[in-house]
Amino acid sequence: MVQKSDLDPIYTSEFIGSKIEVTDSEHEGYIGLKGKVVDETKETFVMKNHEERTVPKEGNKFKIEMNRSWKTLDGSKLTYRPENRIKKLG
Amino acid sequence: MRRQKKAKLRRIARKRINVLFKEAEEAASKGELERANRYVELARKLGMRHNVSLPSEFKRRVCKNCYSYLYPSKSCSIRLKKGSLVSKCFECRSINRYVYERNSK
Repeated sequence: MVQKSDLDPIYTSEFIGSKIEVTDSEHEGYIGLKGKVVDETKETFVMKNHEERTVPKEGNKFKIEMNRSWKTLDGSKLTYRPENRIKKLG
Repeated sequence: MRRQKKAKLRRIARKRINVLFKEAEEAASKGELERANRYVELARKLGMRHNVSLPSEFKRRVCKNCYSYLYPSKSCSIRLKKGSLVSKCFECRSINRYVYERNSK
């Protein structure tokens, strides 16, 4: 059997509601932004701390809290609609 | 093998639907109704994509006409009338009925 992907199961889980932080970015202004994910689209996350910020997935690296542990995410691998992500990456 | 894989994807989809409805309830309780409606939209899309129906306890939290999230007193009213629970959506003014008394004479 050919493995479709050897990605961490975290890539198919739900991000809305969990805490997220931008660890690395192609654009300096995004580094260090953190907050709770309130919405997700094909290309972006919307995170809310004091104010809402829309951060693109492409070119950014994230750190996300799941089950009381922090996991790293590569945003460039996540550019699918949230409902399609399971099928594409699972 | 293929069937096993599909079952695995459906399991993930069910889990994510649960998470989304939990978040929708939290958002609606804070008064962020538009956000709650967005989470319902995402949950429904997940279900449609992976052939998973919404569990019955969540079906009752969604308006059957406009699919907005129903939070009693904030986005719908609830009355008990003649053996059925009647909820009226504030968004589209439509009525959803849920029968709770089937064997009455």
